[in-house]
Amino acid sequence: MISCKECRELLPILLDGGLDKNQRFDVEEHLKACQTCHAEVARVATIISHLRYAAHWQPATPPPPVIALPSH
Amino acid sequence: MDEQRLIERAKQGDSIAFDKLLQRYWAKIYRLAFSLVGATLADDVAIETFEIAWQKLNQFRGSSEFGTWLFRIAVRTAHRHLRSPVSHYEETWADFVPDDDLLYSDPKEILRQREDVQQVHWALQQLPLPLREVVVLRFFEDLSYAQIAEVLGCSETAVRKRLAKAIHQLTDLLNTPTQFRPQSEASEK
Repeated sequence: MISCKECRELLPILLDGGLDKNQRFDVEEHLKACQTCHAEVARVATIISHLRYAAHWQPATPPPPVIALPSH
Repeated sequence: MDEQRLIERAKQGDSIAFDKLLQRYWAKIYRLAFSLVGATLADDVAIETFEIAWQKLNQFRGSSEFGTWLFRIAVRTAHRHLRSPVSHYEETWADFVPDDDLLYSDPKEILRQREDVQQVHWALQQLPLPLREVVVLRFFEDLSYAQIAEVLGCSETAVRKRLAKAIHQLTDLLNTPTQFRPQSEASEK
């Protein structure tokens, strides 16, 4: 079984959907057996959810500028 | 006109064709610059990105998407502009507007959510630039790990490691009470 350190490194990528099948299995098996790491799942998932939500908000963007382009 | 033709014309010196490319990508590049360097420098970084793109357009071979190529220039430009890898949120405080599909939500809820979004951006600004950029490219620009690796010139494994580290740091920042308070709340006290 993978260590807590390895699990911690892989957990954000698992929750982002970026692990391959084998890695996903390793992390999920660790999480079943380790309450400490399991407790981290909700915290990390919340942050990823915040990031995805924040992506739907845009900073006030100025209009495209007119740039003086030198000839090639 | 399709993008490929605009690029070919711009390569031949057609500044009007390049201006059309600028119009298409300005908002995306400005937003990327904003997330990387904050409001104060975003305009400079975005404009310089297009100036460099114009100068180097003949080096664009089409092996990546044009947008990815612009992102790469923008990230390098952001690095050059930031003297310190960590900027301060005071410099980057700005208002945010939601996408159209959120506009019809309860106004009070929108205000609360705006503060959440500002807090996320504050936390992002606390990260060193190499961590901040992977988060921005992944979650705000919705790039795949392969595309991020292409923009940053590193391996996908490196992207995964940096992203995991960044998310853990954000988790600690956003779950720990700090001095940060949204400005509207601070002004009421």
